[in-house]
Amino acid sequence: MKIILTFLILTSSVLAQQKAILSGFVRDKANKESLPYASVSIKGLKIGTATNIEGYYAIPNIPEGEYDVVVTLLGYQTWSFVIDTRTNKRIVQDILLSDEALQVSEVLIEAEKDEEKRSTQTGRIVLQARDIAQLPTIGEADVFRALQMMPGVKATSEISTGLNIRGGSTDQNLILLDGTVVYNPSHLFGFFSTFNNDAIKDIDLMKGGFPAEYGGRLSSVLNVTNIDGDRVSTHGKASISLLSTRVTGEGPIGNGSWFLSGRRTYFDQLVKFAGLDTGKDAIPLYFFYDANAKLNQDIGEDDKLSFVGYFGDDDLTYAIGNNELELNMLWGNRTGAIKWTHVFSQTLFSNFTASYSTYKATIGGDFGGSGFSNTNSVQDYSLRADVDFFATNDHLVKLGVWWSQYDIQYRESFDGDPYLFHERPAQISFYGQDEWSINERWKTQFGYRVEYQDLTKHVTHGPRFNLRYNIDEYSTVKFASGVYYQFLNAVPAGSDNGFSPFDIWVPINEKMNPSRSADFVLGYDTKYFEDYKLSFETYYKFYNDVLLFKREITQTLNVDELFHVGSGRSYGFEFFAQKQAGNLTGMIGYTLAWTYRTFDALNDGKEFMPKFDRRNDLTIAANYQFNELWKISSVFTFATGQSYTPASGIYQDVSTGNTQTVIVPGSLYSKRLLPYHRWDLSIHKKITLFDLDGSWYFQVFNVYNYRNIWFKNFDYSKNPVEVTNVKLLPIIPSLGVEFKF
Amino acid sequence: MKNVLYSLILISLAIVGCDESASSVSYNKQIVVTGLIEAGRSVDTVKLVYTGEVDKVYTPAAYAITNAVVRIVGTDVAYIDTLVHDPLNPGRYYSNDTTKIIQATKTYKLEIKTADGSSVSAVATVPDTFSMIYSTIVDNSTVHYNTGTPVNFFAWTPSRFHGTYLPTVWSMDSAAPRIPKSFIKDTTAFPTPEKISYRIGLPKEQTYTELPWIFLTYFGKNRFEIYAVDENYTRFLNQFAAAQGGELREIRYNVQGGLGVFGARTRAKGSITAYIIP
Repeated sequence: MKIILTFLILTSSVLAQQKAILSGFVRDKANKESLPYASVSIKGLKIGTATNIEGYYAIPNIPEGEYDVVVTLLGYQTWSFVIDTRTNKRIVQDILLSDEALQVSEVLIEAEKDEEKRSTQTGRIVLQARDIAQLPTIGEADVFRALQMMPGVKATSEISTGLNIRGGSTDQNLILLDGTVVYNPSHLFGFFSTFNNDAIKDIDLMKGGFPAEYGGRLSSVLNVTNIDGDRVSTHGKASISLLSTRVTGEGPIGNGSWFLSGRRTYFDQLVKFAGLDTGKDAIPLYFFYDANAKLNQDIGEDDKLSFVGYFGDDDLTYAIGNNELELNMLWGNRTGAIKWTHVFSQTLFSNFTASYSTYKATIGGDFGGSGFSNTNSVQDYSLRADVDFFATNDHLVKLGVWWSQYDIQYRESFDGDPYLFHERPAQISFYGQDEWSINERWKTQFGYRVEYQDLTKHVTHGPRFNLRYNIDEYSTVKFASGVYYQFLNAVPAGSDNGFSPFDIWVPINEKMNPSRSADFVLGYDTKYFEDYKLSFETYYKFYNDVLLFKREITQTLNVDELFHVGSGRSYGFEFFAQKQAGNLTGMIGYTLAWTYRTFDALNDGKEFMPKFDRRNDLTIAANYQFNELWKISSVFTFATGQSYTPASGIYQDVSTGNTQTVIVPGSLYSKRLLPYHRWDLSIHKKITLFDLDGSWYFQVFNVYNYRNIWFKNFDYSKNPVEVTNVKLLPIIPSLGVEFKF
Repeated sequence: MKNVLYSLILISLAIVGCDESASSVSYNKQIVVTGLIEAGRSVDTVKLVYTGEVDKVYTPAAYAITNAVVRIVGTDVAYIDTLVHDPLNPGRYYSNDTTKIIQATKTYKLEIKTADGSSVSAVATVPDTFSMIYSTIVDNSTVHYNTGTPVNFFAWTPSRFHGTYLPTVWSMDSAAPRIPKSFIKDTTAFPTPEKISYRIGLPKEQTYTELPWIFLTYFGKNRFEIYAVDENYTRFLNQFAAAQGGELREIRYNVQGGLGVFGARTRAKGSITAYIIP
């Protein structure tokens, strides 16, 4: 890496001497937050670039002359300035964008067009916290619930935050919080995600064709970036909803900024206050809390240090009678990272990150006089280096290395009878990619990722390829393909419905191959219609050596005995229409998809559609701004019913010495529940109280109170067996209030 | 024109998307076998029934297969036994030849031919003999119920050809009260003279265990035994336990042409009887 860096520094210095170069950071004018994905272009030369995730840009090889530079970003006012490369060949220009132009249609369209023309990435969804906050939901805004409304993203149920993306299972998504992997991003048994919307700057989901800098998962990459903190003024925000109280604060410190955010639920306090936590019919005490913190410091002009942290826990205590049955559960994530951003030269930008992430769940109690405990944890110590080399106007080269040491443990004890699984695999990955602007119309990106895991000694090779063609000023065609590998898999010990605290991450062993997927994505984006953005994408994806937890009683220490190993494929079509300007904004997302899996030991070895296969998904969301104060939002969702396995027969088993009813399943997941549909509404109003700006909202989940079916329940104790539909949530109104200080 | 084109594409896709390929599964009548042969004994029971319809009352007698030809054939030992039907217990077939003894480490094939011509077969290898070698309690001792402390510690010599060991508790006293456990609502005594509970999920190599109190249901006389059970029965038990409740899950049967299990077991030499008192 040192040799490569030296080479790049020397090369960048030589290149920089030949022609002029423009570089700098793009930031929000109000709080000096860095702005990723902003487009910076030089008028007349038809050259330009986009800011990286740190808001940095560089345009090398600018010929001598005087030029207008235009900077655009969705939601911000376009900014332009003049450079003269005859007098100055090394121009460093930081740019401050104002978001005052949020409702100005023309500016938005221009920014969108620029963004689309620059990016080769397919299947990308970028949402900002304010987008998420507008969507009606239960309790409070949630990142995962917002994503579930997007095409290509499915949830197994409305009470699950698990994401099934383009035919992948919930553990096949790489979820990053400020660059650090989060292993179980859920609260309340998967009902909410760990991400507090008040702490989020933006989220970036790549559903396929993701670049070589990302790996380790088969299906998608979700980048969650927290707010850096206001570098100009100190202020905060407090919010109360029926679910939780949230407080955030941010401000300048030294040569940088700080940010703190926390929330806690208070269901347990209400139960205690009402005296319902004791006695025969005691209600379990449950709460969760989490906190995010960030500290940024500029060390000179070319260096920046960031300290990022997150911690959160869920806590459940359950007791019956005179403590005859006790259950204590505590689970949560911790992440921490130190990031050093260094600009070696105008064309050589780098990030060096040391991070730690852990997820730990402990369940203990007393069951009929027998004590038990169950602990599972994953710890991830990672070092990462990423370098962006703006080689020429046409080439942006990215290189990087990512090393991780894992410590994975599972301890189980039942009346002192211990069971322990402990593995310490290490993994190292190298990647390189070149983004090549061939001409005004064509742009491509080649990448290659090599991964090695020491337990299996497997070396994997993952080529990545993206291609973009600008048909005209308004329309773009994109193609992407890649090969992806996964060495860590989650044992969904608790539930089929997404993340649960019982999920255990395990590495594959020497008898197994890493799971592999390959995808092909073809997309078409157009801004042909004023104010509207339309996107069409189709994909085909293969899976090999994909794993499925066996779901049988076992205490084997061999990971290869825990899973069925099989293959799969998925394909589909996604349509996304968006209107982002005017009083009426909104989106329509539609997905038509097929997902298949094949395992020798299941369904007689025949291909089947897994539970998360769903044919149609339609979401229509609309926001209407009546005036400065009032706003109404509406979301309607329709989806094909979830698949389930029907019963084909019944008998009574006597082999165990007891007579027990057995239901013989029919063809695996061959029946579907009734179609799912739901309408949610919310009203927001801005208010001022005691000189504090704020807002209140009232929202209604499931407005017409249609009880969708969660699953079919087979009651074995009845003869004949009673089959009932277990329903999902009824109409749920909620309200909340928020004040800024 | 483009508007019309886009609309047509979307409508077409929606129509295609509504074409669900889910097949409609109806009642599929299948033969269910339950047979467990034991080393040192003649064949006690091979139970044969048909599956019933899920939405109808199921009574085993009504679905019993009473006129099948059922044979146990040794594949590596000279052994052929044609089982006879027990008219008092419809669907039960047993050996009426007490000289036909199942041997440890030998493999046996179950062959069934029903009156309608259906054939079902399964193969099982009997685990090797082994012995209980250690216990913290002695035979016929009295054990005080003590919440939180395991009742006993057992060890045994290793067997062969087994999938797991089943530490098993037999409640011998039908009049004894239940051991109090808050999550058990039923406090009535068991209806049959003996009631067993056993522990599943022990690793194949493990030759010792503690028995938590959860496995003891009744005070009074209890008998503790260890069985080595074959891979067929191990897999069946492990899958059977996990398949009860929730989403319907497949149980992989070792019976060709039918459902159920044909397994084999070997009982450890020696067992312990203890009196559990409050």
